[in-house]
Amino acid sequence: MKSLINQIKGVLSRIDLAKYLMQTDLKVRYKNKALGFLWAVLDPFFMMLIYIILVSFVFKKGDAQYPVLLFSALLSYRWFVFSTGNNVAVLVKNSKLLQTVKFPFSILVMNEVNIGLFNYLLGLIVLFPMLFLFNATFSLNLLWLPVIIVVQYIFTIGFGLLLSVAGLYFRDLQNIMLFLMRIVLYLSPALYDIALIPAKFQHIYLCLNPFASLFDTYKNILVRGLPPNGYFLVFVGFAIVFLFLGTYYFTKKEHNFAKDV
Amino acid sequence: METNPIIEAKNLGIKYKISRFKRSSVMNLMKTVATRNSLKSNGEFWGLRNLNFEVQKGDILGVLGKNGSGKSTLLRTIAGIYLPDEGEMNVNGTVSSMLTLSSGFKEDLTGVENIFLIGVVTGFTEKEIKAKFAEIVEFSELEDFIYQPVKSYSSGMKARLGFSIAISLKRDIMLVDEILGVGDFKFREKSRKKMIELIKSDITVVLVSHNSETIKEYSNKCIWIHEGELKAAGETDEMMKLYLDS
Repeated sequence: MKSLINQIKGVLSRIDLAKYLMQTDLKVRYKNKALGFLWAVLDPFFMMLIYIILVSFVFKKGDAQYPVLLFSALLSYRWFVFSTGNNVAVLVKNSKLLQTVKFPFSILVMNEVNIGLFNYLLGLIVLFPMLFLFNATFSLNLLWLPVIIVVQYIFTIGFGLLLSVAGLYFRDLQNIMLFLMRIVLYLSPALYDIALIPAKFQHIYLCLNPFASLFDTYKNILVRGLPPNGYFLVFVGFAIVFLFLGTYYFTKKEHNFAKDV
Repeated sequence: METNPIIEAKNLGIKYKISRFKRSSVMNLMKTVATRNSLKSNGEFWGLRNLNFEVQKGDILGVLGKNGSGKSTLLRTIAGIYLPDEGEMNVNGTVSSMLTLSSGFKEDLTGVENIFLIGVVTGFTEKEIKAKFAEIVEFSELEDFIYQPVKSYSSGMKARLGFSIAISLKRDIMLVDEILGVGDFKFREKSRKKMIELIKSDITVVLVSHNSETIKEYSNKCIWIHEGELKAAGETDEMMKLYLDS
């Protein structure tokens, strides 16, 4: 708890730095490209297109709303994969900086999550017209979206803090995570519906896999017009545990980063 | 000394671990297991040890020593990047750690953007940077190039920009690591004058260089570090004799 408060204090004291890192990262990412920021929108669009072609036309599966159901889950996973994939390597990538200046290094982890969130929000620009197109049920449950996003943000930060430290001391983790994150996607109800899981396993499945409840919740509030169900608390639980573990572990190791990088 | 020193090292020790797990990978782990090397046999070595010295406000401290003797470790400890594993390091002032500045540039960003980025990273507010901005650009002599991405700069231009940022965005204590003597002859002369100006102000400088000429020119006090330990400390002139005779 103490380390969490200290980390938050540290980040808040250098909030201008967080802002600058994000600005410059986005500039570097999208500058020098003819389509610029449009890529942040086009990218998820093409990603969705590939899955739709694959599932609807090649495998001839999925119902009428399949594309938006898929997209509402995939968009959030894309955010997680981006931030986590970068956070495994974030301390190594910024080794020069760590050895030159002292600042709350958790800002670097947060930055990757912020950029992922930024891309996610731009992805919503693609998603919302599609929701109309595919006759999604609009309801007040849509108001849950910011809440879900905040919880996912906390989850991704906590997990990122843990992984950034682990990735510093165990470099193979970068490669391992690429595979793991792909496997987790197939183990989670993004490409398929949760109803596909045999009824007797559903309870344990939803309790063990945080992404099961996360994806189902996104699908519920965005497409089906339903509120989050109780299983979302599983994801909230994971988020809180990761946040505490992450800040504790990160704070414990933080002063060694410059030496060990 | 009567006054409180601005930097004070008491029995300072900084330890490095030469761990088998440092750059660890599955292959290394297997090797370790295969050769039955105990994981506990991880070596350690002291980058700095038993270091005692003081720096008074306004002093220009030169740090002498060969490559690998612990000079950069010392600067990083003063900057607060390393915590002492032994003893104490007391710093009573704000530090600007302008160590190897130009390596911190983001190549895709313009000179202007890099000035602000580095400024903010090193802890200055946007307002403070804006106030110094004209001075930085003018001193760097980059003119319109300042609006170009840094990747289009020559190494000399980068060094000039780095020096200009370092010299303008300063704090109570300035750490200088081999960033003097950049650019062409004219710029070197100019930066030399600027350094002398700085030395006359009440700023405290810790200067690291393996070029003893640089240290001789700027610093009034010197410490000589050899293999992580303090070999000698004193006025620059006598230290120079000692150092060059060795």
